[in-house]
Amino acid sequence: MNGRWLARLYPAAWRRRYGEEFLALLEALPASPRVVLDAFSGAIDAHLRPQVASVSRAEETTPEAPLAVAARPALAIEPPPTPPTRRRLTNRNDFEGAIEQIIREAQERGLFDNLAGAGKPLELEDDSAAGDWAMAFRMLRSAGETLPWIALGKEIEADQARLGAELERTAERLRPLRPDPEAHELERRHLRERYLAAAAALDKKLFLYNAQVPSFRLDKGRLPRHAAELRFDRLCPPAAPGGELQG
Amino acid sequence: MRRKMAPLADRGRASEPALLILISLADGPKHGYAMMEDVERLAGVRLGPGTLYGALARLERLGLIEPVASDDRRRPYRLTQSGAAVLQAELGQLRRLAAAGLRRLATA
Repeated sequence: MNGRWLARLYPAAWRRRYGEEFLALLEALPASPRVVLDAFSGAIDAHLRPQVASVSRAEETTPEAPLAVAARPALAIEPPPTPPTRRRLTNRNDFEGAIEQIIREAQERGLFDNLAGAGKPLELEDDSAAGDWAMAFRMLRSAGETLPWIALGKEIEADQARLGAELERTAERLRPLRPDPEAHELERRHLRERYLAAAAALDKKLFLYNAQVPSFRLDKGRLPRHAAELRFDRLCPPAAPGGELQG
Repeated sequence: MRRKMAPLADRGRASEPALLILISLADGPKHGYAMMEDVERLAGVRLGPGTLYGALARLERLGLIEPVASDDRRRPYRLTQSGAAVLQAELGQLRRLAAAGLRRLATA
C-alpha cells in the first residue's frame, strides 16, 4: 500500500531516520486493517515514547548500557533511564495534544472511513455485566445520547422517590385521628386509591423496563398491587379495628 | 509500558517483538520485510509494521542492532556485539526457565 500518509503521523525526528525504509516496508504490505492499525499505534507510541536518539545521545551511548540490560530479567528490552536531554512529553496537554493531532490527521486522510461498522451506531447489544453498561452509558451521555431503557430507569427512580415521599406525607396527614372515624376512613381510602393508582403506573414502567434491559441482572423489582397495598396499610393503618367502613 | 503490564498469559516472552527481532538477525543481516517473514515462519507471530519499527528503533537506540550500508531503500540491520551478548543472555535465561519447567513437569 501507499503508506505515505501513515508515515506522516510519526514524529519528524523519527521520520528523518526511518521514514524512507518504513515507506518501503509499507509498500510491500497490503492495506489491511491490521497493518494500518499497527502502523497507527506505532505512531502514537513514537510520539509518547520517542525512540530516536538525538545526535549527541547516539554518541554517548556506552557499551555498558546494553550489557546492563542483559543482566536484568527478560522482557526488559526498554531504554535505560531517561537522560535529561531526551525529548519527552512531560505533561498531560502534550500527551493529549499529540494523540489528538494524530487522530485528526488520520481522520482527514480517511483512516477511519473503512473500518468495520463505520457510520453505523455503536453495537451495544452485548449482554455482559452491568459494569460494562455504565461505561457505555457515560460514552453515550458525553455524546448527548441516551438509551431508552436507561432513560426509563432514571424516570423510574424518580417515580419511586416521589411515591415514597408522597406515602410518608399521606401517613403524616392521617396520623392525627379525626373526631369522625368514618370521615377519617373515607379519606384514608381515597388516599389509598390514589397511591395504588400511582403504584400501578410505576409497576407498568417497571414491567416495560425489565423487558428492555440487556441483562436480567439489571432487572428492577416490580411493585404489584398486593405489595403496594401492604406498603400503604403498614404506614397508614385503618383507624381502629371497628372503624373500617363496611362494604 | 503496556507491554510490561500485560499478563504473561497473553503475551508470552517468546512473542516479545524485540527478542524475536534479535533472534531473526542472529543468522545474518535482514531488512524489515525479511524480518517479518522470518519471525512469522519461526514463531508464528506476524509483526505489524508499527510494532516492528518501534522495536527496531529501540534496539538501535540501545546499540543492540545497527543499520548496514545499502543502496536499497529497504535498509538491512545486523546484530552488534552487545546485541549478540544480550541475545545470548536472554536465550540462556529462557533455556534455564524451560528446563526448570520441564523438570517440574516430569517429577510431578
